[in-house]
Amino acid sequence: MDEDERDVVLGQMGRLAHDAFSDSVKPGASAAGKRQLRVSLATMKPARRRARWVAVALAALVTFVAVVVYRVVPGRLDYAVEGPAPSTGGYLQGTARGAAVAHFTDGTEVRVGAGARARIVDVDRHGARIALEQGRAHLRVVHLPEAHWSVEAGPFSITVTGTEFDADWSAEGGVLVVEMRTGAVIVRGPLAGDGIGVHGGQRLVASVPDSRLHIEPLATTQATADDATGATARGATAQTGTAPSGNAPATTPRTPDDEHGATANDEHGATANDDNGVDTTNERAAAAEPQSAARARASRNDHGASGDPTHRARSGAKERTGDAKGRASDAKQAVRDDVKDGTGDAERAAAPPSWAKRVAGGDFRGVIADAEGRGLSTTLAEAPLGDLVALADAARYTGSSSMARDALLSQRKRYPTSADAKAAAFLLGRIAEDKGSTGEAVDWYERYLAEAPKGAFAAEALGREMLATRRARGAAAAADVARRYLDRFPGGPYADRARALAAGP
Amino acid sequence: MRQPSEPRLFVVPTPQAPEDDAALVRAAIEGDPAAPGLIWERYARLVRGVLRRSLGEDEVDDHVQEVFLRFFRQVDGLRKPGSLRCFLIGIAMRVAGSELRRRRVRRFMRLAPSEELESGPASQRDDDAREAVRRLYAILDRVDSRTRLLFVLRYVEALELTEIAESLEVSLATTKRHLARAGDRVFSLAGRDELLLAYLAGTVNVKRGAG
Repeated sequence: MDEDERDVVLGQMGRLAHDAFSDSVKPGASAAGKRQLRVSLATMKPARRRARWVAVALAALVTFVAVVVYRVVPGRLDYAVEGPAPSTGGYLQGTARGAAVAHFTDGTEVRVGAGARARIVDVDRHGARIALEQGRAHLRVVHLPEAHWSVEAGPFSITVTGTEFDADWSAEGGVLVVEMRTGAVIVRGPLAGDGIGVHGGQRLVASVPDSRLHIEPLATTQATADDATGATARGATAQTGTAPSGNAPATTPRTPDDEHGATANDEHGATANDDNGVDTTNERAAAAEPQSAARARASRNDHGASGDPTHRARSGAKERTGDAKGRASDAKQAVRDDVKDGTGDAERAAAPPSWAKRVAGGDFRGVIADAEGRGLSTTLAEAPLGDLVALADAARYTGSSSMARDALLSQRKRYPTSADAKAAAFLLGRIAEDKGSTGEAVDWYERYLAEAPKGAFAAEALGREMLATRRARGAAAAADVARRYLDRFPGGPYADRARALAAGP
Repeated sequence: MRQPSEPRLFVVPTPQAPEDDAALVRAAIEGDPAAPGLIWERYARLVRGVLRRSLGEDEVDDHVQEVFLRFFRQVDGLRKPGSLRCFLIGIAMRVAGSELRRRRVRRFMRLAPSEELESGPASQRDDDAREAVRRLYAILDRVDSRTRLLFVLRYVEALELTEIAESLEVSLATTKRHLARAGDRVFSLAGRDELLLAYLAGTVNVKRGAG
C-alpha cells in the first residue's frame, strides 16, 4: 500500500468511528451539564477567593515578620569618634590634647588615652574587634545578649562580653596590662594558654619577653598603675609590689636582649604567695574560662604551682599540644597521690597541702626542706610528677638552679611523654642560659622545639635560641635561626631582632 | 447646581454575549457570570464528541465537566483568547489521556475487565458495523494514548494540522511527525485485520467475534 492508500484507509476508519458516535446529545442533557458546570464553578470560586485571601494574609504575615525582624534584630553597630585628632578608617589616636573616644550605637565606649593608638578593625551587629597598637585604652562595654567584643594587643586577645576595663599594651616592651573594673574578660595569648579569666577588681600583667604572667588584686596597685605612664613600668611596679616577702628579691623587668638578667629569682611569679593573689582568684576566674583552661587549672591544683606564670603557660602548652598521655598521666598521678597519701575526698580536707599548693602559696623553702627531709635523691626517684614540678618551681624561685635542674631532669627521665617533661626542656634551657652555658641552652631549646613545635614556649624558645646562637657562634650563624623565627613568628616579640640578624651586618 | 428632584441618568452595564471566542474568554477572566453558560453552549458538543470518540460513552459527562472545570481554572493563563476552541480541545485531550492511562493501569492491575465500547454505534448500525467499530477500538486500545488521541483528532474529528498543533501546544512540524508515526502504527495494526479492511472496502461483512 502506498501513502495515499494508507490515508484512505485511515480516513475510512476515522469516519467509521465518527459515525459510530454521533454528536447528538439527549434532550436536556446539555442543559443539565451546563447547570452542573455552574454549580461546580460556584463551589470552586470561593476556593479561588480563599486562595487569594490566603495569599494576601501570607504576604501580610511575611511583611509583619520582616518588620519585626528588622526592628528586633539589631543591625550592624555604628560608631562615632570624638577626639583631638581626625579619625579615619576607625583609627583612634590619643594626643596630649586629649583622648580619642569611639561612641558605639549600643552605648559601648572605647577611650584611647594620650599617646595611645588603636584601630577599630571590624564591627558587626554584636560588637567590634579592636586592635590596640600601643598604649592604654579604656573600654566600657554595654552588656547585651550575644555581645561580643574583643581587643587584640600584640599576641594577646581579650574577649569581652560586658565589662569595664583598661587595656594597656606596650608594643616595645611586649607587656600587656589588663585592669578590670567590672565584669570579666578572657585573655588569650602566648602566656595565657587557652584563656585566662580576669574578673572585676583584678589586674593581669603579661610580659612576653619575661615569659611572665600574673594576676593580682587591682586595689593593691591601683594608684601605681594609674600613675604609670607606660605598661612596662606598670608591669614592673606590680611585680615588685606583690613580690613574696623574704622569698625572692624584687623583680627587674627584662627584655629579650637582657640576656644576663635571667635568674631564677625573677621567675617567682610575684603573686604566688599573695593571700589575695592568683590561687584564690583563679577559682573565680575558672568559671569564665574555657573548659580546657579550667582543666589545665584543675591539673595544676594537683601538681603545679598555680601562681607561677610559667607553670600556667606550661599547662596551657599541655592543652595546646594535646598531650593526652601527659594529661592521663597527670590524672593517674593525682589518683596515685591520693592512694599513696591515704587521702580520699573525705580525708582531703585534713591532709596537708600538696607541694603544688604550697608553692602557689609561696612556701618555696618549705617544699625544698621537705624534699631534703625525705632525701633529695629519693624524692627525685620516687616523687610523683606533680611534686617534681612543684619542687623544680620552688628551686627556681629560690635560685637553687642545681636542684631545679635535677627536678626537671627527673621529670624528663621518669615521665618522658608528659607535657611537663617537654616544658622542662625549655626551662632547662633557661637554666643553662642563666649559667652561661649557651651551647647547652641552644640544645635544650632545640629539643623543646622538636618535642613541642607548637608549644606555649615555642616562640620564646626559638627567640632565645637565636640570641644564644648569636652569642655562641656569631651573627652569621644566628641569621639562620632568625629566618626560622621570622617564618614562624613574624609578629613575635623577637621579630625586630630577628629581622636585623636576618638582614646581616 | 442640580436640583434634588432633577432626574439622573444611570448607565447600568449588563453582560453582553460576546461575539467571538476572545470576547468570551475575556468575559470569563473578568468573572462575567454569563460566560460559563455561553462557552458551554458553544463548545460542549465538540468536547463531548471528542471525548466520546476517544474514550467511549462511559463517564463521558463527567469528563466533559472535568474539561470545562479545568478550563475555568486555567483561563487566566490563556495566552491567546482567540484560541478558545483549540484550548478546549487540548484540555479534552489531556483529560482523555489521563483517563486512558487510568484505564490501562486498571486493566494491568486487573481491577477492571478489558474495556468494551458499551454503546457502540448510536443509530442505524448493523451488527457488522458494530463489529467493525469494536475491532477499530481494539486496535486503538493497543496503541499508546498519544497515538490514539492523534488519530482521533486527525482522522475522526478531521481537525486541521494547525488546530492539532495548537491544541497540543506543539509545532506544526512536530505535529506532522507525530501524526505520521501514529498513522503508520494504526494502519499497521489495521492491516493485520483483514475483516476490518474488507468491511472498510465494502466487500465483505465483518463477522462478529472474528479476528
